[in-house]
Amino acid sequence: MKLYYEVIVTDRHGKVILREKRNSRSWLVAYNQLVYGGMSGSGQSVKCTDGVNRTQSTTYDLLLVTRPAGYDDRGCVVGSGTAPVSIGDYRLDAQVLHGAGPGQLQHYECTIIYPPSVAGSQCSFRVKRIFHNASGGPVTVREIGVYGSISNAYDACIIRDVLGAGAPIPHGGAITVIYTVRAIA
Amino acid sequence: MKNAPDVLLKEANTSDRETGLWIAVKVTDRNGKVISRQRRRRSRSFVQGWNWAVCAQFLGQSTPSPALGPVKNTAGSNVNLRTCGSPFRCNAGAGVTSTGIRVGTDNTPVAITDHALKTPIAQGTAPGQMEHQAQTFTWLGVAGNVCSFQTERVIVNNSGAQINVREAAIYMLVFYPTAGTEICACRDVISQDVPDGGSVTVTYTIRIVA
Repeated sequence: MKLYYEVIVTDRHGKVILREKRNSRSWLVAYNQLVYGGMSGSGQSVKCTDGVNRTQSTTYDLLLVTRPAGYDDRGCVVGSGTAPVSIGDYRLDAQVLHGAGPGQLQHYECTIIYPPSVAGSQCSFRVKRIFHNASGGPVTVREIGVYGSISNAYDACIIRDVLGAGAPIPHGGAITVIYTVRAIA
Repeated sequence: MKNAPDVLLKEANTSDRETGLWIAVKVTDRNGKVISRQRRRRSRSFVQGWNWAVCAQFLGQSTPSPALGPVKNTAGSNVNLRTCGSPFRCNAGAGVTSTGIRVGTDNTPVAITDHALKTPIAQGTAPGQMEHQAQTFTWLGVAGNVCSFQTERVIVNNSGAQINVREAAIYMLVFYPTAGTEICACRDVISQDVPDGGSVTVTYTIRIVA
């Protein structure tokens, strides 16, 4: 299963000032644990984004990624860290939190673009979120990822990528993060 | 037909660094002796059902609007999915064929739209049937930048004659708005002849590489 990301940075007028589209560096351990737990029915101890290990749900609320606007604990997330991706990463290196304060970004709703579409030998769907900069100054995004639920109360980092180049978002601008999840026969 | 020899070892070694799905197959005779082995190689693929199931979990809604579908279940019926109370579940017990690893006799090439085996082998000991053992799971853990686990099933031929196995798949549980149903997660074409009294063991490995 292939994973790709695209980030699009716009200025306050909506003009695209940066676009990066690449293969995602990686799914992380938590993703494989959650799938394993689901397939086998045997809950795994998963390291959550707060660094605490907890037993995953094997029923409902597993791998939920959608999230309403204003929440930075689930769905697509962004950060300013540059630590190389490691398969055991359990959170972003330095997450940019929701808000309009210095160094913060306003998190819009994290949505799934569905249903999965088939084109040739591929089947894809996308995860998308927009982050708006109302902080009063530039905010530079250097890492992106996805936090997904392990239960109805906790989340784990299932995807993380470090951008090829930092993405400076001017005040009034925005960054759109899109992950494409693709099966290829 | 002569069983496939050990093949694709080179390919397996060179592409082990990739995220994806892998398959290995082993055939034993009635005495447990291994008479044929398809070493681990890249699975032809997850098919669309897997992506639909992942999408349903990511979406996490019990009544998605717009509908998440239609997609064909393993019976060929169109269903709309919802978040599942038993996501990806395929821990089939002995004799269960609605979920878990299945095998069949058709070698039609894999397509992303495959929703089931083309000609699945039924549970039993009658001609053309095989006995399905319980599916097992093994968490292999993390080694370097690789994280993987395996799921395996032994399927025994007590039909009284050789059965030519030509395809394998994983069926797993998904939910649609009113009940559970099964969907095909992946399919592979294989070539293994299983003698009477013998068995075929199919092992899938799901691996992520950072």
